Amino acid sequence: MDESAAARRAAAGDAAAFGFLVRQHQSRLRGFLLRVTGGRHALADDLAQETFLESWRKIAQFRGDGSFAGWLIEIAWSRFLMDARRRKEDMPGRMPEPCGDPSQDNMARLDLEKAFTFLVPPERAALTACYALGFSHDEAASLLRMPLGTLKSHITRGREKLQAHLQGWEKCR
Amino acid sequence: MNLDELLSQPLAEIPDRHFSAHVMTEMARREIRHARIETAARIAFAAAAVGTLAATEPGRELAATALSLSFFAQICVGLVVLLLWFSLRIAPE
Repeated sequence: MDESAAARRAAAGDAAAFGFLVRQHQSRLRGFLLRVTGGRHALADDLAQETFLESWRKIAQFRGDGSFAGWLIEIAWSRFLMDARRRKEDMPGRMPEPCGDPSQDNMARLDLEKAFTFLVPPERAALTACYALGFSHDEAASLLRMPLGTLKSHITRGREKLQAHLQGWEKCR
Repeated sequence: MNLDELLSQPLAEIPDRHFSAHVMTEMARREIRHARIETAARIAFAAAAVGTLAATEPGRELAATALSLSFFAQICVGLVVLLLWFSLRIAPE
C-alpha cells in the first residue's frame, strides 16, 4: 500500500490504513518532536500521540496536495506551541541520552543533539525541518506557520549558535 | 564532518516499541467515548423534546390519541420511532 492510497482510505474511515500511516511516520514525527522539545522523550511521545489522534479526526481535511509527513509536522508544531503556551515555560532542553556505539559519527550526532538544547524551539524546528527532514524553506515556512524571512532568521541564528557550541567543545577535546 | 553535513543527516531512527499500537488503542477508546457522549446527548435531546411537547396542547392531544390506541398499535408506533432513530444514526453524511 502506498502513502497516498493509504491516506485516501484513511480519509474514508479505514482505521487499518491509518494504522499503516502511523507506523510509517512515527519515527520521523517522534524524532522531530524530540528535537523540538529539547530531548524530552515523554513529552515528545505525548505530543506525537496527540498529533496522530488529531490527524485522524481531521483526516478528511487532508487534500493530498502536500505530503502527509508535512501535514503531520504542521499539526505537531501547532500542538507543541499550544502545549508550551499552556505550560508557560521556555522549554529548556534536556541532555539527550547516548545510544549505540560511541563511534566518531555517534559522538558528532550526540554533540549536535546536545548543542540543539541551547537553541530556542523555533530555531530547533526550522533547522530540523529544512535540514534533517529535507523540506524547502518555502514548505517549512508554511508548515511552521511563520513568514519566510522569520524562518531564514531562525536558521541563521540557530546555525550560528550550533557552530559556536560545537567549536567550543571541539577545542575542549 | 561540517555542520551542514551533520544537520542534513536523517533523524535517528526511533524504534516503534508498541507506540503505534498504543495510538490505535487510544484512538478506538476515544471513538467509543465520543459515541457514548453522542448517544447520551441524543437521549437528553429526545427527553427534553418529549417533555416540552407534553406541556403543549398538541402534545396533550397526541398523548390522548396514543393512549386510545390498542396495545399492538402502540408497540408498532414505538418500533417505527426506534427504526427512524437508528436509520438517522447510520445515514451517510
